[in-house]
Order: sequence, then C-alpha cells, then structure tokens
Amino acid sequence: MWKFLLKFILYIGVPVVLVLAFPLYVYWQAREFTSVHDAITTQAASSSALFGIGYDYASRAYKEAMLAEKPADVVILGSSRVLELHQLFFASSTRLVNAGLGLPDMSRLPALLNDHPAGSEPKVILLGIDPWMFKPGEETVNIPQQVTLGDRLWAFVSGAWRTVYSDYFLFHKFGLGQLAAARSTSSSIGINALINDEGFMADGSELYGRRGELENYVNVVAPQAIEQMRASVASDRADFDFGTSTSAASLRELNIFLATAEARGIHVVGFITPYPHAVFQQLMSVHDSYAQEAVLLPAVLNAFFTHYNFPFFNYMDAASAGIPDSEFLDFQHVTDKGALRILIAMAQGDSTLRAYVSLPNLKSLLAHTPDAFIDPADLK
Amino acid sequence: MLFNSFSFLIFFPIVVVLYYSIPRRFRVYFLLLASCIFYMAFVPWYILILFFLIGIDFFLGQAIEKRTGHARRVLLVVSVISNLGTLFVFKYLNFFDANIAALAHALHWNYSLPLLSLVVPLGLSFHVFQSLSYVIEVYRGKWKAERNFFVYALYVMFFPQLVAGPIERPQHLLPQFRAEHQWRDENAITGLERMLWGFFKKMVIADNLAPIVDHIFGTVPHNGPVLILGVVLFTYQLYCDFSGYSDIAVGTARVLGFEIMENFNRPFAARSIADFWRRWHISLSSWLRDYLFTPLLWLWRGAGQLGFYASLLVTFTLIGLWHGANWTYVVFGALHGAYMVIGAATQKWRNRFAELIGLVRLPRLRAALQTLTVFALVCFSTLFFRADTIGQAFTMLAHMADHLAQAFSVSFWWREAPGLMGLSARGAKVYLFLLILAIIGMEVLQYFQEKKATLLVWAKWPSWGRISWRYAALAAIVFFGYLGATPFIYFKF
Repeated sequence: MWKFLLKFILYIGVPVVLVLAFPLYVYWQAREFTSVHDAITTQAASSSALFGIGYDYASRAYKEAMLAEKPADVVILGSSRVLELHQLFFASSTRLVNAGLGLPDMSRLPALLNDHPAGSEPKVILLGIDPWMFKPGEETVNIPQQVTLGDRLWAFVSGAWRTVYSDYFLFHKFGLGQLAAARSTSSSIGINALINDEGFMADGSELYGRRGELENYVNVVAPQAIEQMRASVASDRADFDFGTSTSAASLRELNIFLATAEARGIHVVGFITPYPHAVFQQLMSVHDSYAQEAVLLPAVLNAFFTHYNFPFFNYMDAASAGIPDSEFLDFQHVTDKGALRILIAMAQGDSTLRAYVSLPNLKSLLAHTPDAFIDPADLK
Repeated sequence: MLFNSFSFLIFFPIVVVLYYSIPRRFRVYFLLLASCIFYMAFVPWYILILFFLIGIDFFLGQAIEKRTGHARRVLLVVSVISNLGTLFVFKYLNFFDANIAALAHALHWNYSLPLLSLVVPLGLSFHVFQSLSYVIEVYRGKWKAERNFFVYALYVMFFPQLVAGPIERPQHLLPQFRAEHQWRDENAITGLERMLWGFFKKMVIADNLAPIVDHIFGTVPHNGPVLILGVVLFTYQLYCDFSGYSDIAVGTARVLGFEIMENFNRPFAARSIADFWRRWHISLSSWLRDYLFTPLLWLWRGAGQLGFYASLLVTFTLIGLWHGANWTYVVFGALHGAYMVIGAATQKWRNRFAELIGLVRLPRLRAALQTLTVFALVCFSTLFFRADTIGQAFTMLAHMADHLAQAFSVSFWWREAPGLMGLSARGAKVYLFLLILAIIGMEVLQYFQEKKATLLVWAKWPSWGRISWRYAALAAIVFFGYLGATPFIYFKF
C-alpha cells in the first residue's frame, strides 16, 4: 500500500506542482500576496504606489485598515461612488483618507468611528449616501474578502490560478516581460496596478487606469450603460436602487452615527451620490411609489442631518451639481471631474468644509480640465 | 461532506490508509466512525435522526425474525410507518399542508395548520429506502436479522453511498462488512479511475452546464431553439451529476475493497421507456419494482390489464414524488407512468406499423429512431423536473415554438444564442464548444463501455493510453472544475 501511495503522490503531485508554478510566479511578480497593512506601509513610503490586486478582493479590509492606521483631517465614507474625490482636491495641509468601499452598510458606520481613539478622529467626514443603503432588504453588500494570506492561498488553489492562465494565454491581458519591467520600476501592488495603472492611490481614492481606458469608459461604456439603466428603470423599477419605503434599521444606524459624531466634535457633511440626469428624469417621469421614495428619502435624510446641525446635499440628479451625463464612467460612478463639481458645490454651501479646500484652486482646476476627467498623469 | 470538496480530498486518503492499517476486527467500527464524520460535516444533528431510524429497524428486524404470523406483519407495519412517517414529516408535511390549505381556501373551509420549519436531513429518502429493504427482506425470510448493531448501522451509513445512494440491498452489502479486505493495487487503480471518471462527469460537464441551464430556466428567453437546448442540457446535467456521484461512490467503495451496485447503464441509449428505467437510477427503480410495483400487481391481479396499468401509474408517480415535495416532481413521475402505460398498450400496434412501413428491415434506423424518441420523451419530462413550478414549465413549453427556424441558422448560434444562454464573456463560444465536445466524448466512451460489456473500458487499453486518458481527465477536472462549487443535485432528495 505504501509503495502505491508514494507512486500515486508523485503521479498526481508532480503535475500539480508544475501546473501551479506559473500562476504562483505571476502572483509573486505582481505582489498579489501583499497584505493590506504592508500595502498601506508601502504607499506611505511611496505616494505614487497603487494598491490594485487583480485576483482577490480585499478592498473593505484595506479601507478599514487605512482608517485605523492613517491619521486624517478629512475622511470620505461611502461606496465606490465616492472614490473619485482625491487628495489633489483638498488643501495641501489637509490630510485626506478616502475610505470609499469601506462601508458595506449603515450598521458599520458607528464602528468606523470607533476605529479612531478619542483625540485622533478626523475633523470632517464626507458621507456619500447611495439610495440602496436605505432600501429595505437590500441594505447590505457583503462581498466575500480574501484578506489574510490563508484566504488568498485558498482562493488561489480553489480557482484563481486558472484565471491567471486564461488571462495570460487566452486574453493576453499581460506579458511576463511587461510584468517584470513594471515590478522593477514601480512599487505598486497587484497586477491591476502594475499592468493597468488601476487601483487605490495612497489617499484611498481610485485611479481607473490610463487615459485611453478613461476615454473608453466615458465615450463607450457610460453612454451604453446609462441608456440601458434608463430603459431598465422605465420597465421595472424594482431592480433599481430605490425601494418603496425607507429602511428603519438603516435610519437607526445613521442616527447613532450622527449623534456619536456630534458628541465627538466631528463635522459630518452628507450627500446623496448622483445618477445621470437621463436616469433620474426617467425615474421621476413614472409616478409610482419608487419615484415617490426617490423624493421622500432625501427629505428624511435631510431631517436627520439638520437635527444635528450637519449640512446635507441632495445630488441625486447629477444636473443639480452641474454634472453632465458625459462626466460619468458608467450609470452610477462619476468621473473625478464630476466629483470635483460635487466638492465645489458642497464647499460653497458649507463653511466648515470650505476651510479644508481652496475654492479658487478647485474652480481653476475645473476650468483647466478640458476633458470629462482629470488626466491620470496629473493625479499621480 | 461533498465528494467534490477539498475536505474529501483530505478525508478519503486518511480513511483508506487507516482502514488498511488497523486490525481487521476494528475495521467495521472505524468505517462507521468515518461515516459519521462524513455525514456530520453537513449538519451534525441530522445524525440523531439517522440513528433513530437505525435503532428502530435494528431492533424491529430482530423482533420480526423471532415472531410468526400476524405479529410479524404488525412489526413490519411499525417499521414502514416509522420510516415513511419520518420521511413524510421532514419532506412532505409542509407540501401536504399547503395543498390542503389551498383546497380548504377554495372550498371556503376554516383550516390552519402551521407550517413547520424543518430542513430535510441529507439523504433521508435514500436511508429510508435502504432500511426498508433490510426489514422487508428479513420479513420475507430472505435475510437473517443482523445481530451486530454497528454492522447494521454501517449498512445504513456506509459513507460512499450514504447521501445519494445507490440504494443497496442487505444481501449484497451486509456480507461484505464481515469479509476480509486486503489491500490490492488493482482495486485502488480501478477504484481511483472510476472516481476520476465520476469527477469528470460532475465537475467538468455537470457543473459547467449548471450556469447555462440556470440562466435559461431563470430568464425563459422567448426562443424555441435555446429553450429546447436548455432542456437537453439540463437532462445531461442531471445525468452527469447523478451518475458522476454514483461513479465516485462505486470507486470510493472499490478502493476500500467493497462492491456496491451500479446505478446507471447508458440510459440515453434506451430504446423504450421501460429500457430507460432499467438503465437510469437502477437502484431506485429496482427497489420500487420489488417492493411496490410487484406487490401492487399482485394486489390488483383481479383487474387484469387495468391492474397492470394502475400499478405502473402509481409506481412511477411515487418515483416522481420521491424526488421532492413539489407538483413538478409528481408530474415528472406521472409522465413516465403515462409513457409506460401507453408504451405497453400500443406495443402491438407500433410493431405492426413498423412492419408495415418496412422499418423492421432496417434495424439500425429503427433503433436510432427509438433511441431519439425515448430521449425526447425523457427531456420533456425533465423540463418538469427542473422547473420551479408547473406554470414555469408550461410557459417554457408555450415558447418552444418561437423562432424555431433559427435552429438551422449558423449565424444565430454563433451570434445571438450565446447571449440568450447567459454566455457573454469572451471565449464563451470556445467554452460551449468544449463542453459539447466533452458530452460527445463521454457518450462515445460509454458506447464502447457497453459494447465491451465493461464499465472500465480503459482497463483494456495499453498503458500509454490508460495513462493519457487519466491525465487528460485530470487536466480537464483541474482546469474546468471547481472544488465544492455546487452540491450534487440528488443530495436534496
């Protein structure tokens, strides 16, 4: 039996090792196994380093670690829709942490505040609210993460190694020479960051790739996605972000968060993240309970913020912040130029926030950005 | 514990090594312990239900053997009620309750029995039938009651066939627990090859068909060719999933030196529905033939041919209901009952018709037509098997005539069909092509298996051929299969 078992192990083991060797090499070259803490440390040492792992998901853990480890004057909380607010938009003396994607649901809000010991909390929190966060039954987004080395190895063995093969041989997404060259010249972490220049910057905001990629988003992806969403909203609003009522549980958590922030002297600026005007118009043209909720929700949220003397801005219709539909990457994410418009509008409306930006500089940046997005080279 | 999981890949070698290393007198207890661990990996407390049934039947078996006449019958009835009662409570009570409530509502009766939130213990249907076959064989005097509780418990819980069969008979399995099993390289090789074949069918074919089938049944595109393809693909998914499980079960047992019964024999080569059921889920159909159909036939022998037809209808409707508490399964079973009845009633006329049109002089053409007809009838029934509701099945049927002409359009299959099947990623066409190639390859191999009358046709190949197919199958599993991705379909029965 033992001789058979030994032969069997060699029979199976040798090919398995040979098969896994290539993807393991790619993982190592791309620094895919880097922990979120090491990533934050690397970015602190090299501000141009991006965190963009390609085969695992650790964004929430990364943002939570950032909140706990990086001191900040201004913190941005929300989903991926707030990721285009960059350090560049704030005064040079302002320390920014963009923790977008670190908020899976409202119940995490109070805990995120607790990550900061008393005295080290931010002065201002910009809270980007997406309507789905208040849609009963759908208030949570729980994407499984691969944070620890064990998680990543398991994900690798379970199937991620196959994706490496298909990415290399089938879809030609990267070359080995290209990867080696990127690794030697950049301290970015992850294959997405090294190959596509896509990932989280040192301030936590997102870089969506190079100029060509952004042009594709803005000129091709976004118009199709917006039209598809507009048509979808026209036919069945149940799949959209709004429900027909507001989640009481989410409102409770928001209230706890605002009360705690007030007690700790943190100024919170709330805003509803924008939809393209075409989509918003479509929703408003249908006079049903979904459209009603789209009107009621901002009013309800405004009352909560006002109660604590915090400002609240409703940018559900992108046009209300002066954002044209051409400044969208898809049907729900604005470009950084769109995000800049939101920040300018909020800073104009809130004196506390205004102290952390330079309005003239922001307006100048806006005026001198001819494209629908800020050139990524300028951001890095 | 799923066969297609990382934990099984660790569990199985450890069990094999320890099994052959420990003294023979401890092996039954060790296997029982391993089987308990295997079962408890799902939901630990389910094992209490299993031991409840094991305890009842173990003691009732002995009691039946000691008694004579009416008392034996009473004890048999107690066992049947306990087993079927447990099955009814966990599996059918809510279904029964909901239907009574619907009927009461229609008749404006006041009725309210609360639904129980019970989850069906894994493999309960299989355990119940396997236990009942033991008690019935003891009652019939064809088998002596087991005196060792642990041996009997292992008969019910033997982990290779614990969760989804095959449903064994005491004459076949029980003696093997007392036999000496020595390590033989040949058992290990053939067992592992059989497992490899099962993993290939499950992980490469069934699991990769699943998302396509789910998409088609989920979106119900108004396109006849795609809907028909969806039903055909589901039929193959069901076959590869279940027969793959059975192959792994047989192979696992073989490595340990045990032989368990075969459950499939190239069912899509069947030339009649009766032939189909001699090839599909053989352990279930033979169980129902021996313990339900034959007694019913005897009971209704006075009704002549009508009694025969009624026995068929009842048996097959219950086959459908055995699969689950949903009217779709009942329709599935009833359809097969109807096929059997119509097949039996029209056999003379069909043979005459075949003579008339000269088909008897073309036996291969006739065989091909029969095979295609049976396959079409089976696919029609699996539409109901897979559909969530009868309504959904009829909706799909209603759209099966839509755009039928597109079936002959290459450009349709190349451009539009992948999107309708939920295949939008790059490489989707290559993926679908490889999947269909895998199905064809499987059918070709199975054709030769039947011709050579051996389920391990590769055993006769030269060693380079044998090694090549092993590595090819392994590569396919490793590259296209996902560990623990989807449980086996028959686990929920």
